[in-house]
Amino acid sequence: MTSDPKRLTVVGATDLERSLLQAARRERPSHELTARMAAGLGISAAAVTAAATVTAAAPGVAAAAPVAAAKTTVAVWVSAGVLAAAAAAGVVGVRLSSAPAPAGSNRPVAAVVAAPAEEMPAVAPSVGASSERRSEKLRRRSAAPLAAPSPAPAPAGDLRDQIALVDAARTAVKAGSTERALVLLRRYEVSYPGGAFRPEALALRIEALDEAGHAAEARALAREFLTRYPHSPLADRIGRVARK
Amino acid sequence: MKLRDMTRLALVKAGDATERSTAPIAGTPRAAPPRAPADRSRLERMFTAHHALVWRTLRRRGLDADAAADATQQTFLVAAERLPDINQDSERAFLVGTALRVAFAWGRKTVRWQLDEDMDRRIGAARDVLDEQTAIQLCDLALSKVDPELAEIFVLFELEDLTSPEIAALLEIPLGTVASRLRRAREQFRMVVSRLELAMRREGNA
Repeated sequence: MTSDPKRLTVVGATDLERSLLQAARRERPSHELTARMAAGLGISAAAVTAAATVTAAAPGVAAAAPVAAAKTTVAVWVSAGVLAAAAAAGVVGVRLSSAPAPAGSNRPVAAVVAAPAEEMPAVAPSVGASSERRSEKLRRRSAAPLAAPSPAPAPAGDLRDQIALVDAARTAVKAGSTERALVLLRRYEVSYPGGAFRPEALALRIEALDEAGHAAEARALAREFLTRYPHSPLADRIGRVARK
Repeated sequence: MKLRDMTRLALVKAGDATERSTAPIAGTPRAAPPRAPADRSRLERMFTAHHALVWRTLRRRGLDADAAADATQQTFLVAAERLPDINQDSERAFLVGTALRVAFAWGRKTVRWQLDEDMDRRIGAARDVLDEQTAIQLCDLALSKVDPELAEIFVLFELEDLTSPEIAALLEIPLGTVASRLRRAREQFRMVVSRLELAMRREGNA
């Protein structure tokens, strides 16, 4: 038994305090970020959301994920150091990368998008009746937005296409089809300049260029990658290209 | 205290200060035996249950959404490496503790809070404080002005619902210290929020 005090949001907070705390409590990563994190860990996004979606998940989706994951290997999704740790722990699959047909990659994305409200809330959930009234009143005033709100989530189709393109590019790199990989990655960059998988796409591009013998261009892009994403889990791996 | 200094993530033990984010990951992983599907399932289950909490904890430490996602990924990779060592009952505590270390290792360069000069602008702009995004930003702003040592406990207790004993075990501090820090954290947080409210009233925004 604990003698913990009650949480401020439960008792004792002012309206403003409660509003701020509840908003922070509700914050969740976007669908894209969740998919990206899951992919980087070799976790099926379908399994993640299926498990969270008690009512909505189709039974076969989650059950199939570990099997599919076991068939594949992580390519450039994670850095070598990260990969070593992941491999040690048996994280050897990227489910999203394994599906050769678009239908295969539809499932996890569809599941991500179908995440339940409590896991992926829409904007501005209710914070209480009086707060809502005040909020409504305040909303009518001209409001200068604060800095950099999170970008709007990509539509389901976009995310599905993004994953399919990046997966196909990775498969091409692994198969040594660097030209095809570069074409796919160019298509990704043109189609999704603000895409959720930009770091992964750029990393693949660097690897494809390096493989294809365009060492100078690969090095330059690798340096750009490290500047842009210094803390990416891919940074170690790309760092090796930069130092070549 | 300089507000920027307050963003220093000095919220883990000093001994962790030199630990880089990659250290626990790239260290000396065991040989790579094929793990049982049960381990993969466990990692998936842990991710499903706790990834939002981990990500949110990192966000409250000042990382932006993308950086918090990367750090979350690193946190779970560390967990994946150490699955056999993690007690089933302390998965959440392990993940939060790891996330705090990862956040610390990322250092101040990655934090997004820019405080002094932003304060007035933010207050002036917060005409619609109950807008979700604005409320989150104001919460972070208030947290950034709380002594980091106290803010950490405040976040874990008030926002992530950890109990005092859990926090005490996680940070390896006495239970009484958790209680006193929480009390002081609340005082500081509430003082900042009351200042925000006053400023907003002055601006006619609340």
